[in-house]
Amino acid sequence: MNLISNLTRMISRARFRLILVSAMLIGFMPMQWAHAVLTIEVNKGVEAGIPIAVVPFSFEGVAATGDRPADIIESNLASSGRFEPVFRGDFISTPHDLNSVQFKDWRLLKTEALVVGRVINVGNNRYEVRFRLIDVFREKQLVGQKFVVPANRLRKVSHQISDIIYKELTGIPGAFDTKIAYITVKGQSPKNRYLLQIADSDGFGAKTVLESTEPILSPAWSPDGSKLAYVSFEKKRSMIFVQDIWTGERKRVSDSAGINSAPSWSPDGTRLTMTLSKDGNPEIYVYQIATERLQRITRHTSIDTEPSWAPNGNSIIFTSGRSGAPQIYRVAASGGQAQRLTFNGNYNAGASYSNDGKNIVLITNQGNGFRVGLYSTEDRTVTELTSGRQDESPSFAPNGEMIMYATQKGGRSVLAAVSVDGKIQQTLRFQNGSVREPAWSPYNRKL
Amino acid sequence: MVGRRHRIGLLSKSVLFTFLIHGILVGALFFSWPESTPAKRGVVKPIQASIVVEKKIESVVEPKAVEPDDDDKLKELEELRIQREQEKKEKKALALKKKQEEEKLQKEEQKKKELEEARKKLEEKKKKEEQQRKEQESKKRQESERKKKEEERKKLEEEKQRKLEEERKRKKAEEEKRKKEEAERKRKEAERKKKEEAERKKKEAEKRKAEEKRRKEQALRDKLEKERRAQELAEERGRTQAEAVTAMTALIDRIATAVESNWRRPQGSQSGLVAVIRVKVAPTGDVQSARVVRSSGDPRFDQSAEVAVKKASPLPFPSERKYYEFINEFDLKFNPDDF
Repeated sequence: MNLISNLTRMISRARFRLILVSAMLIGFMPMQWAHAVLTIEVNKGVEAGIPIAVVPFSFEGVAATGDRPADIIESNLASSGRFEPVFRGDFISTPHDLNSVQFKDWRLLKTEALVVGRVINVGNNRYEVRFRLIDVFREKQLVGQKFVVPANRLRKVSHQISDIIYKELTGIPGAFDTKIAYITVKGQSPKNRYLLQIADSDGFGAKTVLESTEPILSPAWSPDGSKLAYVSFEKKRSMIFVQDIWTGERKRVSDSAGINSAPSWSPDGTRLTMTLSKDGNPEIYVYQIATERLQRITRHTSIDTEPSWAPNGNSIIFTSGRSGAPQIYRVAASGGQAQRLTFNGNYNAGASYSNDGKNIVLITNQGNGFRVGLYSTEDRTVTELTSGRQDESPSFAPNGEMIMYATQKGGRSVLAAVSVDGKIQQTLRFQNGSVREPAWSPYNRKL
Repeated sequence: MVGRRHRIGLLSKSVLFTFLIHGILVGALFFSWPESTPAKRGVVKPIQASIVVEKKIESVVEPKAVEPDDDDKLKELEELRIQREQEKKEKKALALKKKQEEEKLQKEEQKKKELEEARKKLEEKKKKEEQQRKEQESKKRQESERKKKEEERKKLEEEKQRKLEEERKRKKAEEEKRKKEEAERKRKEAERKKKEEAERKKKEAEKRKAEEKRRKEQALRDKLEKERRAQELAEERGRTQAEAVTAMTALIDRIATAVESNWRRPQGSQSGLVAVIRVKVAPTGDVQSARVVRSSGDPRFDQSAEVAVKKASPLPFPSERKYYEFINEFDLKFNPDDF
C-alpha cells in the first residue's frame, strides 16, 4: 500500500501521468508487472514542421533550365510552415529511386519523409519528371508520379509535386501551384509606373497583365481564376475593371461618380460587391455582371467599405466606421441589418473569408500597430498573426493555410506570407520596386 | 551259507555221537523190558521213549487213594485190588530180578566202559598234557614274546605317553599361557574398552554438552540473524521499492520526454484525439515494434504517434536490466493537452 502511494505521489509529481493497471501496483514483483501493460501518457508534441528531406533530383540529359525541382519543392514546403527540410549537407546518401533508399540513413537524420526523383531529357525540349514521396519510419512509398513537360513548365511541375506532397502529408490541398496577383510600383514619384502582375505563389515567374502610370489598386480574382477585377486610376479617377488574364480583354464595370473601389467576387462569379460613393457616402453595393444591375446593400452615415463575400454567398462582410472606429460587420448579401463582428482593438479592416468560412483575415490594430489578424467565426475574437507595424491587404491562400499580405521592409513595401497559425512568416523576394495589394488566386490548373 | 552248512555238519556229528551213546543205553533197556515200544520203528526219538518209561514207573509207584463205594463194588474192587497187588508183586519180583541182571550187566558194562574211559582218559590226559605242555611252551614263548612285545609296546607306549604327556603338558602350558595371555589381553582389552567407553561417554557427554551449547548459541545467533535480516529486508525492500519507484518514474519520464520531443503533432488536427500505441522494446532501447492499438479515428494523428515512437528509438533505457523486465512492452497514450 505504501508503494502505491509512493508511486502515485512520485508520478503525480512527474510531468507525466502514468496510468498503471491496479494489478501492477499490488506489489513490486516482476511477474505482476510483466502481466500488466504499463501505459505512459504523452501529452505534448513538438510544434514543428514535418522533417522532410528533398534529395536533389538527378538530371539525365542536358539540363536546359535553372529550375531545379528539388529546390522549388523544398522551398515551397518550407514556406508553408508545415515542413522542416533537412539540411542537405547532412545527407548520408542521395538516392533517386525507392530501391536505392537506405532507410537507416534517413532514420538517423530523424526525417519522416523523403522525396527523391529524376528529371530525364526525353528529347524535343521535353522532360520527364519522376518523383517519389517515401515514409522513412514506415519504410514505404506514399506516392509516386511522372510528368512529361516542356522545360518552361518544370517550375510548375515542381509546384504541383509540392502540392501532392503537401496534400499527402498534411491532408490539406497544397496551394503552391497557384498565383498571386499584386501591384508593383516602379520608379520615383512623381514618375511612378504601376504594374498589375501575376506571379507564382512563391513570387517567381512574374508576368505583367496591366501597366499604368496611374495607380492600380485592389486586384481580385474571379472564383474560376480566369479574371481579375481591379481599380484603376488611369483616368485620374477610380474605375473598376474586370480583365481576362488570358486574353487581356477587359471591361469597365464601375465608373460612377466619386469612389469606385474594393471589388470582390461573389462565390458563383456572377456578381461583384464594391464600395461606391455615388450616393454621397461610401456604401456597399452588389453589381450583377451579366445585367450590370447595381444594388445598394448598406445605408449608413459613416463609411462602409472593403466588402467581401462569404463563401456560402449568403452574406457580405465589410469595414464600417459606424462605431467610431473601423470594425468589421456582416450583412446579408441581399442587404439589411449589419451585424458587428469584431470587438478587439480600435481598428479592424480589410477583412476577407477563408474558403471554408471559418476564419476571416483582416488588419487589426490592438495597440501594437497594424498587423494581420485572424478572426475566428467560432471564437469571435481577433488574434494577431504578424508582428509588423504597417501590414496591409491580407489575402487567404485557397487552402486557407497561408495568408499573403503587404508589409513594410527596408522603407519599401514587400509581400510576405504567414501561416494561418502565425508561426511561419516569410517575405517574398521580388526583383525591384514596391509590391503591394496581393491577391491569392483560387485553384486553377491552367494558371 | 557255507558257514551254516558247516555248522549243520558239526551239529549232525554231535547228534550222531549222542545217539550212539543213547542207543547203547536203550539197547540195554530193551533186553530187560520185553514190552516193545514204538521206539523200535525209528531211532529218531529215543529220549521221548525213556521219558515215557519213567512216567510209567512213577504212576506205579504212587497210586492214588480211592474211596470205597458200596460193598459189592468194594469187594469187587478189593478183589481186583488184591489181584493187582499180586500181579504187582510178581511183576516186582520179576522186575527186581531183571533189574539185578541188568545192573550186573550194567556194572560190567560200566566197568568196561570205565576202563576204556580210563584208558581214553589217560591217553587224553597224555595228549592233553602234551598239548598242554606244547601249549604252555608255546604259550610261554608267546607270553614271553608277548611280554616282550608288550614291554616294548609298553615302553613305546610309555614313551609315547610320556611324549604325549609332555606334549600335553607343553600344550597345556602353552594353552594356559595362551589362556593366560588371552585373559590378560581380554582383561586389558576390556580395560581398554572400558576406558575407551568411559572416554567415549565422557567425550560424548562433552560433545553433547558442547553441541547443546552450540545449538543454543546458534539458535540465538539465528534468531538475531533472522531479526537482522528481517530488518535488512524491510530496509532493502523499502529502499528497493523507493529506488524502483524513483527509477521507474525517471525511466517513464525519460521515455515520455523522448517520445514527446519526437512527436510532431499534426497541425490542424481536431482536439480531443487520443491514440494508443503498443510498443515493444529491445533491452538496448531499440523499438522493435510500434502499432496502433487504439485509433484516434484520424489516421494522420495515429501515424504521427507511431512515427514519434519510431523516431524516438532507441529509447533511453537504463543500463540495469531489471527495469527492462518491467517495461519491455508498454502502451504510449498520445493524449495532447489542449489549453
